[in-house]
Amino acid sequence: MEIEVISPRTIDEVLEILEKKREGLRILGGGTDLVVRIKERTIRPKYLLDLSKVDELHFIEDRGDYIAIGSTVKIGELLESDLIKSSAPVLYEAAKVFGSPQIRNLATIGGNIGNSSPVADTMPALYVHGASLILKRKGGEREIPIEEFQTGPGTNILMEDELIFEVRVPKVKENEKGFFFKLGQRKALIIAKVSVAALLELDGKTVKNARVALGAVAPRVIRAPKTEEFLIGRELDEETMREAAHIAASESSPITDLRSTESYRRYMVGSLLYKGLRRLVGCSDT
Amino acid sequence: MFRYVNKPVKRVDAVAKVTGKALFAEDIKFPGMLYGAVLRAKYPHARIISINTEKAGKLKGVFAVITAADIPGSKTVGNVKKDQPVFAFDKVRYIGDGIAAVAAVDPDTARRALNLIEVEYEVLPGVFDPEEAMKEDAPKVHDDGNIIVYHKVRKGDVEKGFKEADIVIEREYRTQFIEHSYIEPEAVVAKPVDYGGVEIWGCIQNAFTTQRNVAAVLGLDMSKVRIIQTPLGGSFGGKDDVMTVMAARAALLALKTGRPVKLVNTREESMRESYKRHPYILKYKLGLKKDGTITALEAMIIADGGAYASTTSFVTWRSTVQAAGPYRVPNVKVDTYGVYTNNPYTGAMRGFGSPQANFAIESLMDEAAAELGMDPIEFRLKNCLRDGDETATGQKLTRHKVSIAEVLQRVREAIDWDRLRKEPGGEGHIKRGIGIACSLRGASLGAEGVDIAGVELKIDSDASISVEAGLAEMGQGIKTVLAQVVAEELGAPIERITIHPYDTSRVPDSGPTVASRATIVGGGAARDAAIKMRNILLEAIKEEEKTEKVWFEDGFYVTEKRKYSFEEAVNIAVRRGRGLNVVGWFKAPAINWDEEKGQGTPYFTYVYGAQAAYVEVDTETGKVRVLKVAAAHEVGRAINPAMAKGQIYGGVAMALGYGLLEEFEVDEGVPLVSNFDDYNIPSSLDVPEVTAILVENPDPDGPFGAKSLGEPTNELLAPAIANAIYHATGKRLRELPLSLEMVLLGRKLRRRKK
Repeated sequence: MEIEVISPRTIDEVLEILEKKREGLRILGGGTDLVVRIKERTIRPKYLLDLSKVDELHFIEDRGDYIAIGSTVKIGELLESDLIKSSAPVLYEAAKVFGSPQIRNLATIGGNIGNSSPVADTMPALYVHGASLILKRKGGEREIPIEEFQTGPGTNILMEDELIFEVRVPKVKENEKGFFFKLGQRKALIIAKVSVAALLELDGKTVKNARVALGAVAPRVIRAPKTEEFLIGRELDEETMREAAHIAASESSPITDLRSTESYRRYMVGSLLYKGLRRLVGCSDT
Repeated sequence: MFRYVNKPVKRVDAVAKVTGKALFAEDIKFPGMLYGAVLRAKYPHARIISINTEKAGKLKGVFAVITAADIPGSKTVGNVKKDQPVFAFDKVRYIGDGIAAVAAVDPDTARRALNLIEVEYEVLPGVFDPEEAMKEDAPKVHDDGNIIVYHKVRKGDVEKGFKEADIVIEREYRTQFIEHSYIEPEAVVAKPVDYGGVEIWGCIQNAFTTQRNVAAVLGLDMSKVRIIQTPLGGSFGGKDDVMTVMAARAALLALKTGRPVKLVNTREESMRESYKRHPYILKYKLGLKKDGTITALEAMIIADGGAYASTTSFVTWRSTVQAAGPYRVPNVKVDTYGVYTNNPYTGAMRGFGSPQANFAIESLMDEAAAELGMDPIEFRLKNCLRDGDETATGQKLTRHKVSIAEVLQRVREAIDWDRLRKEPGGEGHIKRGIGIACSLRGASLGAEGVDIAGVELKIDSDASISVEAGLAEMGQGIKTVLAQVVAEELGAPIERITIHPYDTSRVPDSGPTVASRATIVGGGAARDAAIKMRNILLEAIKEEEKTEKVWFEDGFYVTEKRKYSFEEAVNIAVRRGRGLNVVGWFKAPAINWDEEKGQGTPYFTYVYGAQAAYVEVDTETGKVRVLKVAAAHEVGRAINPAMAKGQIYGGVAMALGYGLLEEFEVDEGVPLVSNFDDYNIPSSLDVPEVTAILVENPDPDGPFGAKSLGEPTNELLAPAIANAIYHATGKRLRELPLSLEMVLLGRKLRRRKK
């Protein structure tokens, strides 16, 4: 099996190559998923479009209201950014528990999004941050909300000649607090059995606005609208947190697969949300 | 007292390994070498109608395609029973069976050729549950029925014992398949040689077993099959049968093509093909007096042997004779079956039948203590074996110190048991608890087989020493142990000793490196060799000084006139024409086992261990964190205390995986996991603080009093954790692993295929 690796230097060249719609072409970010699947022969590309030498895709910028992250920024680089830490804390938290140091040093944010796994760690965080994606193709670009990107396990709306160019993450407000939790058996190198992210706007203990996203419990990362609706306007007391956990569990639609079972996952959605909410009100026990 | 023994001497193989200079099998290359690949079964149970290799043979770059039809000698291999085909010929019995192999110019071509081999199958109904397999009408894995082996222990009268009991408890426990997870997958290189034989380099744990089997496959004398063991990147009992099959395939390809051939498994191939630890079903019945005295114990044990016998008969034998644990039980009845199924085959893995039996007996003892309202350690102390007591098999323990009470006490103190048992801590949904498990373990092979080892010593004219030993260094430190023993007995500087690779053409056949026996038998043989050599040097000095009075003291060769260093003594011996080449032997003391009566002396000595785990359970998620472990092991004497503690740390870390994380899931004979993304072993972050305690009660028969340690460290943590979870939550879990789902929901929900 021969694979040709194409390593352009500029975004224009990249879009040029994509426009030709070569059959069997795959975009290579860090390769932490793609290379494994090539080895397993579940994917047999003829061409790999390597983005690592395109400087124009590699940036983290403060643009006032939002942070712009180039798609080849590595997960490890998110962790080195004070801007991400202070203004996109849920994404920062997800990056912290992403894979292992070796994986974080290779894997890119664009790759994690483009791979479109229901267990992708950055996705629930980006959902609750209300992030959007800039998708480029030759002669044009479009901005779409992150939630509209993924369509199912491994599938998304990206067109054949399109590239994830940039991720835009609105900066959190001072009264917004959030968390990202994922559950696995070990302390590190976990592929999530369940993950939960939330970002809440609080007025004292009262929830003014809420975003909750769930990973690994549906064919794609999902929001939990009923849970959010329930939380808004309520005070984060024990009863509210318990009830929110209950609602979140009921609105997830997990499956039984190799990594866990449906009933356990459903239960865990509630448990993780409960734990996270408790942390937000200052009773940390995790 | 000692100069090298009982000291934390630096490992002799450390520098080569940590600097990347050690040459592993995959690093070996020869000019003109070809690369092999193996076609594996498509179904767990199917008849082979036809195999067509024509297209594959015609692919450019392919030098040979072979099947069972190309085997000149025995078509099957086996440790005990020769039931495993090198290439499946009549039918495939598990998903890892090899059917054909290709040798080609490069690995890619070899793998491409595999896709061109056409195999026609008739799929047969399989049997995947050992209890099902025992039924009369179950599909037969082999023609002679599905029972691989049956063992029993009989002592006293259990019926009478249960009648005397105030309480009888009956429980069933289950354990899972697990993978050895050695970091280096299987690899060999075979090279034809001009004497009409073959040389094989590989990470082969038991080179003599492999040599014997490969010679039979090739139809050659054993002397024409030379196996050179490359450094083992971990083995844990795992590089035995699977390596024999791989070595045989590579040798067949090498002889067919006349070229060296390398075979290397990918991790996925390794997981599919290699044997696992046996899953067990253990049904126990225990009779107790109200005061905590045990009156009777009955156990019915069924082990899933998978498709081939491998070492199942020995693994299950150890489970059988140790089934009653380290306790005084007057009436014992144990029945154990090893059974064929169409699952991956199971064989030796660090522990060898004890992790399963210990999970059952040590959980059961905890349940008994709870039933009686007794402290688990007090209950064990009340019933544990003491000096002079008789084991379940009727062996009187009189020749060594019975140390079970001592290890229990040491652990109790080290982990602050009495306080944590009363005040385990934790609040809200975080519960904490502490649990214990202990064991006795027969050292070395026991009645499994001939238990001898030989070590050859040679001194060169510059007084440097070569050691040849047929014992595998697989990380446990045997090379360092041999060097320490030889240095001690010869008064030689340890830096002057070189331990050469294990090469079957040079070293005495010392049996397999299993059963934690390397130090006890290899150390014994090295000591014998060194003493023989020392006597030669003393004789030479006698002759030199024309005196009868020469002796060895504090590392020096001493006469009434003066002291000679080792080097001076060697110079004299060389000058006097003394041959400086000896072989030392160790033969284990006599033992016996009466298979008919289910009684005997299965092992000549025993080691004792206890481990306590302090855990935290998140009752919201089912997540268990092991916070602290204390492990006390009685080892006779530690030849190298630093390496001995290393064994404890490693054994505990590995057992943490068995207890909490690992399961090689198989659905109708098809593995659901293929690599470490889905098969989770503990990471360094998961390993808790471990207090390792060495208890030294020297044994009269071991070298310098040394016994065994490798396996006992790996056989106790799972039940200790289960017992700690019970203490924390009141939930008794009787099936491994104690995964999130198991802890939270109390059951394992069967999963689906990928």
